[in-house]
Amino acid sequence: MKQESKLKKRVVLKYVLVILLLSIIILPFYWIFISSVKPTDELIRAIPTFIPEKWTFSHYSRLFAASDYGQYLWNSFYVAFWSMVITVILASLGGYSIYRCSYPGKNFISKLILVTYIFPQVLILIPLYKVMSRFYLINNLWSLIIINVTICAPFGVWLLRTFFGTIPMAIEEAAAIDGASQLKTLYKIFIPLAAPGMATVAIYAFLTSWTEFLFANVFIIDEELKTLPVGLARFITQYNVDWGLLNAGAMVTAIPPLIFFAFVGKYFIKGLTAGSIK
Amino acid sequence: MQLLSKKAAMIFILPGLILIFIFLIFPALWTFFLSLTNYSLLDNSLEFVGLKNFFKLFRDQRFWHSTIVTFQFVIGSALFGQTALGLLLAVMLHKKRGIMKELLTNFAVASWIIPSVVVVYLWAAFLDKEYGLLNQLLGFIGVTPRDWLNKFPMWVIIIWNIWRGSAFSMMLFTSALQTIPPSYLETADVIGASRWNKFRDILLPSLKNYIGTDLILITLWTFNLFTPYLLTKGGPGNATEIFPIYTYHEAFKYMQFGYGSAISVVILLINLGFALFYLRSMKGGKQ
Repeated sequence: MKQESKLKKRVVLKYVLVILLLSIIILPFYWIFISSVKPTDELIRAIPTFIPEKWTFSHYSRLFAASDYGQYLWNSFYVAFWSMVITVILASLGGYSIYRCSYPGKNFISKLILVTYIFPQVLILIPLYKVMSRFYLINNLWSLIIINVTICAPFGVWLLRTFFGTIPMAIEEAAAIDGASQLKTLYKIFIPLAAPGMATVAIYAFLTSWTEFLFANVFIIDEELKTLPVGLARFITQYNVDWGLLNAGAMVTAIPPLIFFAFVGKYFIKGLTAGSIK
Repeated sequence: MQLLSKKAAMIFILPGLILIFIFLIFPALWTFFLSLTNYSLLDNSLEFVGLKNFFKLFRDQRFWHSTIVTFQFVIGSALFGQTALGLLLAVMLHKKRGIMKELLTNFAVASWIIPSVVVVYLWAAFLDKEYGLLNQLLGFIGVTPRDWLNKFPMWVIIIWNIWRGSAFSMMLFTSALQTIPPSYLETADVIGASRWNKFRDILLPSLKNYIGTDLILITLWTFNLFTPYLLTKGGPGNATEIFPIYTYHEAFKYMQFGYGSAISVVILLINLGFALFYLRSMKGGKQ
């Protein structure tokens, strides 16, 4: 009897804990979401409503009509897409070279790739600005793509280690003996096997580029070239009384990576953990 | 036997290396050089001053203040927050099924992948003195509204970063836990081991290397995290002026590039120390 009630108490305690955690995680999201669909008069009421009495999408239509948000959205897509594509190509080439081949200086290179990780981004901001302006890339979205690739590719190579390392050498050798050309072997046999790892790198690069703020804030000057995070940050200081508009802006910035992750997230979690073992 | 010739293999790695050299290593070396100069946009100066910046730095009250808040931030949000909470969540949800687990996992991941600017805005709105949800909720139980962001700035950025980043550790540990053979825990159940004993004697040793990897990544990420700037601008005053914000202020607010570079060199050395320390203690654990 006594044991049973103790057990019950424990179950209750556990649920209380889980619900508490859940509400801490969910409440801010929920608050922004309902605030983005409430009409303005309901929004500024002294006692707020927890479920909107009236639903409206007027804040969203105002957002796209009155601001450069559509342009920001496009810029972010452009930067994130190309950063992703180039990172996957470079990281795969690099990973293949380091984990499947041998040549002098290879160990040094693989260590060098990890070392890049300890550079604080603020550390390189000042000289990088000079480098970018030397290449006439200031105020050009490609400056962001280049720096995103430079930051993501080393981590990408490191993530690919377990994937590339575990594919048996014999598979490549057999294909080579069969007389398949080198590139064909790579393309037909190796890439499908390494695909989960490359997907992980792609997702990492996309998300990192989508959320990047520091460089996007410094390297881009023109309003019509700004990315969403920078746009939203400026927006917050510009319209700091128009809560409906701000909440809609925050939702629009957050939703694309969420949708993206909903589709491919499970590969990412698998790949990320496989890559960090050892 | 390898498919590619040595030459081809080197050509494969070349594009990546060129990028890293031009846009990462070269600027980093440049920063080392700048840290030895008095480069400033204000007085338009660029002279070699030796280690003067570093001597100045070690006498600067703001630097020591920044060191203290940075360590508070890293220890509070990276060590105790993200790593410990991530581990706790992963262990709690291990072998559980159902809607609660799904919800918890998905929302935790969501808070990790949405842009920091949005998270910052979410929190600013959540903590707002007049309209914020927190004060509204506390109002129901009779607590007077407070200006959380200005009264408890350190707590705010620490809790904010825990909220934002714990999902990464949770995901890492959740998958790590799946590699532990179930028979270990079943045996422990048979001999009647307590929960704490199971955690200490079975889970913790098996997770040791994962915890090490997690600590390295999270510590370095937190040390270099600039986004609290969006929440507090390093203030009020310089209450939340962690290293990256301190560097940013010196370089881009006061235009003291030489001095700012010296600060970032110090951050780099601290990062290096941490990485080496963790790597070493992980290696020691293996033997």
